[in-house]
Formats: sequence, C-alpha cells, structure tokens
Amino acid sequence: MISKSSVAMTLAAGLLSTCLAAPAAFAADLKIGIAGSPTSMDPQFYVIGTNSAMARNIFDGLVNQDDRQQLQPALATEWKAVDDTTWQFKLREGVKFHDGSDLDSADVVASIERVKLASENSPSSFMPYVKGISSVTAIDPMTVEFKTETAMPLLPNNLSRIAILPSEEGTTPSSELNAGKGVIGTGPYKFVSWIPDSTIELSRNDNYWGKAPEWDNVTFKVFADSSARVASLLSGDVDMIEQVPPANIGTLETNKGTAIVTNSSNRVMYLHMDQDRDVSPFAKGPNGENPLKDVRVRHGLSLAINRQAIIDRIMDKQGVPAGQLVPDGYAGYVESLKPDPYDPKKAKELFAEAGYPNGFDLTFHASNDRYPNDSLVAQAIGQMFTRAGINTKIVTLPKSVYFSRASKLEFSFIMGGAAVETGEASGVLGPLLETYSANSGAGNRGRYSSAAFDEALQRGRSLLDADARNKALQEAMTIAMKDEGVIPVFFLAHTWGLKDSLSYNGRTDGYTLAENVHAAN
Amino acid sequence: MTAYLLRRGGQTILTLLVMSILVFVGVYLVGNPVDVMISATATPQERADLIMRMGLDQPVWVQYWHFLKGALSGDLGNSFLYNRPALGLIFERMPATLELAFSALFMGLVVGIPLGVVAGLRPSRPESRGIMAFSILGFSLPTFWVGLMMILLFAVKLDILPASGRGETVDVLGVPVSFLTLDGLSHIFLPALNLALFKISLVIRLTRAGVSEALQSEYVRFARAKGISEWRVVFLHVLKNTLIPLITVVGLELGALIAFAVVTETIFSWPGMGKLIIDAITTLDRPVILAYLMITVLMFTVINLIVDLAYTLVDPRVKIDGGSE
Repeated sequence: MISKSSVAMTLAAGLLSTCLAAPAAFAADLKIGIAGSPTSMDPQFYVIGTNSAMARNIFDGLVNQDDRQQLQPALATEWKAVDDTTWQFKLREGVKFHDGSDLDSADVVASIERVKLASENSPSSFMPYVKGISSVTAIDPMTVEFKTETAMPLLPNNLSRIAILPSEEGTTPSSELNAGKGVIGTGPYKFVSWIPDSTIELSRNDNYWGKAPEWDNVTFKVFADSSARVASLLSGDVDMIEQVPPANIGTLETNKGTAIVTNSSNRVMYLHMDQDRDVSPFAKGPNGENPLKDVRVRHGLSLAINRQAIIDRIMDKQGVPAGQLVPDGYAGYVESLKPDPYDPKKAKELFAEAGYPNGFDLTFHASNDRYPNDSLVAQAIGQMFTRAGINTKIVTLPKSVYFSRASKLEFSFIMGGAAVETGEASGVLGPLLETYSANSGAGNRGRYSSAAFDEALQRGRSLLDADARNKALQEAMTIAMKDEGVIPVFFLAHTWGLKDSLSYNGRTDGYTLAENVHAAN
Repeated sequence: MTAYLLRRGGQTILTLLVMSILVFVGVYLVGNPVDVMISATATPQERADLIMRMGLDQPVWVQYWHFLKGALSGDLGNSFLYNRPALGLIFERMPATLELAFSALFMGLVVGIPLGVVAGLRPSRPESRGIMAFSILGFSLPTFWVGLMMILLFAVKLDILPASGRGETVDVLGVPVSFLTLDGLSHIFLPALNLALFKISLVIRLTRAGVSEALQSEYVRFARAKGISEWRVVFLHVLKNTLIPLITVVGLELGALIAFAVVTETIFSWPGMGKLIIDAITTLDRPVILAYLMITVLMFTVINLIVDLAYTLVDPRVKIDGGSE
C-alpha cells in the first residue's frame, strides 16, 4: 500500500512542480548548461578555462579580451608605455564595484599584489602573467604605474588575465572567496551563490560601466556528461549549452526550437615530433635511427594528412585546416603560410629522398579524453600515414597518464592542443617551440631547437612597437613552420546549442558569457 | 559483544592501512598530477617549484609518511584542484548522494518485496511471469542507457519531469535535503528510479526464491495444517525467513549505491560525491581519491556490522560471540 501511494505522490509532485515551473520562466532569466565546474570562485586562483570563463561574468581586468581576443579598454580607458620599462594605465571614471564602492588605483595595486597570495597551493597559478613586474604604484587615484624588469610589450595582454577586486579583498584568501565572501567585481553580473559541481547563480549589476546587462538572473548548471547537456537543452531545463558534441550538432540543428552557434577557436591541434634524440623509443628506421630528425620526413608526414577530410568526417565540419599556430587576426599570423595540401605521392617521394623508400616504424601516442574526438582524430591520422607507407601504430591514453609520460619524453610522436590565451603568437610559440631550458619551452615535448627562431621570438617579446613586434613574431612563426617544428593540423571550433529565441556571439576562447547572450528579435 | 566490536575495529584499521598503501602507490605510478593541472604557458622552473610545493618531489614513502601523520590527526590533505580539505569536499556532497541512495533503496524494497512475494506465491500465473521478465530487463539493461531513455521520455517527449539537477532543498538539522519539497521530489524521482531499477530486480529475485523455498518447508505446512490464516502464514512465517538473505544483500548493495552511484549522478547531473571521485581520478587529485576510498571502506565496514547485528534481531539462532571460536 505504502509503495503505491508513495510512487503516485512522487509522480503527482513531479507533474505539479513542472506545471508550476513553466509559467515562472520569465524571459529575463537565463539558464546555461556548462561542461565543467569552476574549482574556485577566486578569479586569481587557477589558470583553467572553466574558472576564467566564469570569472569573466563577474570580474573585469584593466584590459579585457574581446570575442576575438583582441584587447579592449575595460577598467583602464587608455594605457601607454612611458619608456621601455614603465607603463601607465588611466582608470575609467565612475566604475562601481558590486559592493557599491568606487574603483580607484589602490584597488588595482592591491589586486596585482594579491596574485601572489592566491598562488599559494594553486595547481597552476597566475604568477607567470605578473612575473617581470617589479613594482605597481598608484600615482594618483585614477592612474596606475607599472615598472617592469625588462621591456614587456605584452604587459597589457598579460594584465587582461588578471581580475581586479576591491582593495579590501587584497588579503582575502581563496578559501573565503570559495565560501562566497568577497566575490566582488565590476563585471556585468553579480555573484549570488555557488554550489560546487552543481550551480552558480548570478544577478544583474545595475551599475555596470558597459552596456546594460540583459538578464535579471543567470543560472549556470554543470553537466559534465555531454548527452545529459544536450538532453537538458531539449527538455527545456536550460536555455543554452556549451560544447555540443559533434554527434549531436545535426540533432540540435534540425530539431524545432533549437539552434547551433559555431565559432572558430584559438585552439590548434598539432603534432609534436621527437627531433632531438638520435634514437627515439617509438620512431625507428631500418637501422634503429630516428627518422623524425630529418625535416623532409616531417614535411612528408604533414603532406600525408588530409586535413579537410578529418574536419568533414570526424569533427562534423567543425574546424578549419591549420598551416600555422594562430588563426587569422592574431599578432604573428602569416598570410602566406597555407595549410599543407593533401599529397601522399609527394610525401612518399620525400620519404624516399630522406632514405626511407619503404617507410619506417612509428607509434603515435595521443590522449583520449582531453580534446573533442581526440582518439578518433589520431586514428584517422594514423591511417593516413599508413597509406603513405609509414608503418604506424596508434596508442591512445587517458590524460592522467598521457601528459605525465609525454613530459618525461617517453614518446616519439604525439598530438596536443594549444590555445593562444594571450591573443598573440608568442603565447603559443614560446611554450611549444622555444629551446627547452629552466625558463622556456615547458611544452616543447619534441625538443625543437633553433637559434634563429629563439632570437626572433625574443625580439617579438621585447619590441614595444606593435608593427615591429608583429613582424618579429611572423618571422619566428615562418622559421618554425618551415622547419616543421610542429605539424599544425586544424583549429577546433566552438559550438553552442541554444533555444532559437536566443542568439549568442561566439568567442574564439570558447568562454560562455551571459553578456553575449541576447534575446533574438 | 565488546570484544567482538574491538576485533571488528582492528580489522577495519588494518583494511584502511592496506588500502591506503595500495592507492597511494597506485596513483604515484600512474603519473604526475602537475602535468595534468599546470597551464601550458608555465615554464619548467615554475613546474618544478609547484612539484616541490606539493611535496611531490619526495620519495613515495616519505610522501606516504606525511599522509599517514596527517591522517592520524584527522587531516587527509587538501585537494590539489580545489585547495580545500578533501574530507570537507566529500562531506559537502554526501547528503545528495545519501539521499539518492536511500531513495533508490526505498524504491527497491517497496516495489521489489511485494512483487517478489507475488511471484513466489503463484509462480505459474501470468503476472508472476511478467514480474520475472521485468526483473531480467532490470538486470540486463545498462544503467546509463536506461537513464538517457528516461530523460528522453519523461523530460524531452512528455515534458513532465525535469532532466537533471537536484531541485529545491530545505535544511534539516543543517543538512540540505530535497525530498521535502515538491520540486526536490520531482528532481529525485528519475535518478532514484534509474538507480533503483537494478535493486528492484535483485530484490524481486531474492524474495521470490526465499518465498518459494519457505513454502516447501515443514513449518509452513504445519502452520497451514493448524489452520492459520494464509495472510499470517505469508507475512509472519514465510516473509520473516525470506528476510535473512535479503538483509545481507541489501546491506552490501546500499554500500555500493552510495559509493558507486556515479553513472546515474553523471547522467542526471546529480551534485553528489560520485562525480567528485571521477574528476579526482582523471586529474590525479590524490588527496580526494584517498579520502574517498577510505570513507568507502569505512562505510562498508559499518554497514556489514549493522547487517550482522540485524541478523540477531531477525533470526534468534544467530549469536554474536566475542570469544575466539
């Protein structure tokens, strides 16, 4: 008896609540399904996309990156390099924090100094973005001066990553922000509540300095499982989702009431080759030597890849073939560097020229849970190599195992994805291709090393003149691509699924920001 | 009785110790968490500093010793990703998982036992065959598929239940629970049913087997010969004897429900602790993995103990003996 009535009650309860909930969904409230939970509400704690994306709803930097990651005035309206190592930032007048206090230069100084505090116990801190700053001083209430150790043309780019908090929070540890205390920014939405791995609630900031926010309340719900994310959009639990899996793009496009927004991304998928060791564990020519040291072999491998086919068949057309490491529109992009064409015949010729007419043995390692369809892409590339005469084996591993082993150089040929977080080329050229040392080339798992490249890159980092800097970065990019330091494969695309009553301005960094969602008229 | 409890306590501590060593060494061998967590722009020097700050540069036995010292004072370390005590993270998510597990168990029992009794009493009737066929489905359909189908049917097509999340909660003694609100009930119904499906089938089969066995027994025949009402025979004599195996299995299943409800939690985005362990494993967040498994071991031990004690209530023949056998 108990069983029947309780089940009936539960069912009735469900029916009732959905009936009640339906008319309550006002147009001015927005629910967004996101793929990963932030691990902290401290915007200066951990350099990871999920945390930074959420922080951008609540906080601003002195400078913000726009949808294409180009720098735009935010809390600072203008900035200039006074001399090689001095920068001045003029603050915007009349900006109010969510607690009602006014923004002044003391807040900026305290926020920059707080980065060190927030870096304690951080799995990946923001310190790299503020290193090289020797002092920050408030010259007057509306002017901040930065002194740097050496010329740092990228200071504004780096500062676009640092959130500004009120000076009262300058000594607030991450733990208090995580408990919801002191999550105070200047952004379009105010922090209301956070349940880790579940929901984040925000509300409109009526005093926002920019364009008036469109939504009264915004709720972010975390759906780690991509099918669950799609289902919650279809069922109307949320109005919009991010990271639509390629397999579901067609469903959401054809389904009545939902639509897809795609946007090119700043993340390039690339292949890294051991070009340092004479004998490499997983790339062996007939005499046991490492064939990947020969630039002709590396070029041949690039020609053996049918980039368009990978995008069309595996990524469901969501991507763009890559011939370099940054997309068009970013400093360092070289117009003349086109993606290598698919030319297996030429590839075979190059292999023969390098002394491998019958190919060689290659084991290709890739992750299987880090990038969209990563293991499928690796398998496709492996098959293309085999067709070009390289005896290729594919091994895919979970990221927890893969990255550790790749860093220990246990592999010979690997696939990775790199995002240009600073909006210009040095942010990806440096980690991937600069000669490995204690202070450079952390992600250079192929140990590519070129003095000419290093010199051009270093020049690109230190020139204050934007045009000259762009030229130097282009030079570095060209050298590395001619050397096949890495093989760029394609740029991923970001996809959002949403109700067709909404529109979204996609971003190259893939962030899902409430201020980019509009009611379509 | 005291000696018995002491002995069980000693066994538990030994199990915890062995488990922690296995997990510690296992995670150490898998890889370095820093490589998964650190941003691509950090220099090798910054990477090395981080490894040192986390103590990961020490030999594994030194790291274990630090862990053990902390554990003895109740500190299982801070999560690498969240920079908060691992135990706190788990306890924060525990109410949601416990609620889901007990709801599923409740459904399993209130649906499973009556159906099992019906199937056991009249095995050849069509409804009994139907019940058994359902239990085979419940056993064999994979949880994640059933979960997705439920969402598709109830949330997308019929649009009568929400697809995910926990719904509105109210605090009871400081613990947030959702089964006291209509919104909360509507949210918990599908995930709990999804999780319960397997349990219902299990309980049906166990109850049916127990009932049909008890029906053959001397005491049931004698009771019937005495002219006791069928009601009383079934509920007092048959059902009570069926309960013994049921208690054992249900006890163990409860532990599994709590510790490994992760598939259901993921599909329905239930903010429980199952998701935490999966995230911790993929990022090698060792303090969380260790704390989670230690709590799991502890939980299973306590449940087993309760099961043993429950036997004595149901079956007077079972005695708990403190001395050495």
